[in-house]
Amino acid sequence: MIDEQIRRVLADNGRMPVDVATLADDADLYRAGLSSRACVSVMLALEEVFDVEFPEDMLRKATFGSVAAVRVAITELLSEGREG
Amino acid sequence: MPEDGTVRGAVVLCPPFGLEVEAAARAYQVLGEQLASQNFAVLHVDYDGTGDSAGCDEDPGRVEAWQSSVRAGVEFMRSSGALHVSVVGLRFGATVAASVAEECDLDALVLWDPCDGRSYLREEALLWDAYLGSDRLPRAYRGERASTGAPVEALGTVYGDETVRAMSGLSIASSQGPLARRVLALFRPGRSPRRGVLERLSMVHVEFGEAPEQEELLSVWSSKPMIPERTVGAIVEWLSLAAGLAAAPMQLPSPRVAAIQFPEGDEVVEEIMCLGLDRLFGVLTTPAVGVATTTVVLLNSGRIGHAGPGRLWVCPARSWARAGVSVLRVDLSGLGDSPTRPGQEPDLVFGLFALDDIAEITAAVSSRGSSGVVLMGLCSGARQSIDSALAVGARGIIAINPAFPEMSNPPGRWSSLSNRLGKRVFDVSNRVGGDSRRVSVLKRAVRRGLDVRWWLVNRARRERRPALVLKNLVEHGVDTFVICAIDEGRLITRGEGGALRSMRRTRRFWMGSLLNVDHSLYSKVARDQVFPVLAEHLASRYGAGAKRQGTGASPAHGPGRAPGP
Repeated sequence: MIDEQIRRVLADNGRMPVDVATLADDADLYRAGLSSRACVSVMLALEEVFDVEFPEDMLRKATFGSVAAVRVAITELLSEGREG
Repeated sequence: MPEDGTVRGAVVLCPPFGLEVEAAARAYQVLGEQLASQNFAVLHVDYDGTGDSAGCDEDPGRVEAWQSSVRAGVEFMRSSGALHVSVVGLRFGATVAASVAEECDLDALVLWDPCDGRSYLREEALLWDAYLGSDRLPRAYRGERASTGAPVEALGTVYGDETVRAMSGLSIASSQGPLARRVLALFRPGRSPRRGVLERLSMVHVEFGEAPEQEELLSVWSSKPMIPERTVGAIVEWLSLAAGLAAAPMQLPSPRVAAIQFPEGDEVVEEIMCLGLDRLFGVLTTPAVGVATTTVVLLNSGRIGHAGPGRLWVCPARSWARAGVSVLRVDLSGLGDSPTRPGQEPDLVFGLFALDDIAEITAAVSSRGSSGVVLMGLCSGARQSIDSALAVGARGIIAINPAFPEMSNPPGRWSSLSNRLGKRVFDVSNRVGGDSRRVSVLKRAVRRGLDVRWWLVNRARRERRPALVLKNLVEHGVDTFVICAIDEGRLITRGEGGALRSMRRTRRFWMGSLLNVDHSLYSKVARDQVFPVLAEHLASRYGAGAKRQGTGASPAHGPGRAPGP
């Protein structure tokens, strides 16, 4: 479910020239065409969809480098939210 | 200003910050022109420490200074005779405008895709990291950034601790009072306003609308500027309705000269210039005392003007002028604040008229008594300096990361052959093996000295090789100073040992490749390396006899507030 939402956010906001559905979980999103500016749009859209806020130490290129990396970050933020 | 000098009202345009101001520059220009065509007087504000205004981003009290800039803009229009004054603010510029709107007694306020300070800083921090990649920076620098969390570095600028704290507290939700007699709030479709913003704006005189082209305007890297025509049209129409039809004469004073004061008390003088027949826009910075014999002409980098990261040269120009060199920051035709020539496409880098522009600029500079012109630029500006130096009789050129787009792809067949040969050389040198000093020297000689691959590739090229282009300048007596990022420097030096040695022998050629320098000097670590090198070169080569202070990089030497207009 999380993966599906992440991929939808990437498709809607990533402005990548490839079909996000065809990308492997660990595929490098920047190599797939995710620009630095689009990365910011993806971050904001993820925050809205999952109702989370990326802390400062997660505002890094690597956090949004692949579907798997985004999933790790979102899962961590959601679990922190539940614990909090 | 409308041509007939009668206005229905005045509009102060408050730009966004950072890279966004660069993206929105042309849109703001179009908005200003359309408002002027509807009989509005329009003032485009560069906040203190941004664009061509006085101040530096590392000065204290940034947020207060930005707020004062909006107040000053409104007061300037009102004191010039405008009966109705409105403000348009985009992104964080909208938030800054809203924070002082109550005390400015505005007729109308447009909040265009407003963004609170904290959100803006978060976006900038991610953009910086995603663009430059913090893994490319020196370890010590990464450590500092990771441990303190502040200041926040954005592309081309740094927000210090105090500024970050002040920005973080600034939002539409924290603004006071009714803001203006009429307010239009335009939000980006699909992006919810931050909490508290809609509640704050729930007032009968606030109208809401959409800014549908924001993603294309601000979230896409593009070689051509995007004009959000629907949003611009909606703002012009709304302001026109708000102002009514009554018009009155208005006369704007046109201050052209300002003294820029340094914290130590000394000054340089800045003058707005209209150069040549086409009235190209420029800002000339000169020493307040004495006469500079050399003028450095700074050309545009790409299509950008002097706002946002395009402000790169503003503070260094003032420091260099302080050291005895005149510096002219110009916009070529169709770029920045310069007009577009008839038949010319605006915002075109390497435009057809670039050489004509540079010739007009250098002629104008010479007519003011400067005996030598040094052309200087970054990327395309560097290339245009190189390409036009001989034609305009420049005394020297200073090229930072010069663009040689024709050199990016070596011919495939030769590249492949040279790669095979190069690999063979490396294999042989590796097979020799051993750790003796003699073998190491031999391997280094093989790897660095021969550079067979690029020697071959260079000679297979149809294009003129960068090293030979530079050599031509040097042989014609032009001082040639080149600074490059390591990768970009290789484009010039690989396989060109002979040409480089011959140029260096003339003592008119200097070239350095620096680590951790990005192409656009977006990172502070890059600017901190490049600016002192440039200051040293300018002082030693062109600033003889003048006192030398500052590097253009240190906040201690940054210019202070201009006491003039």
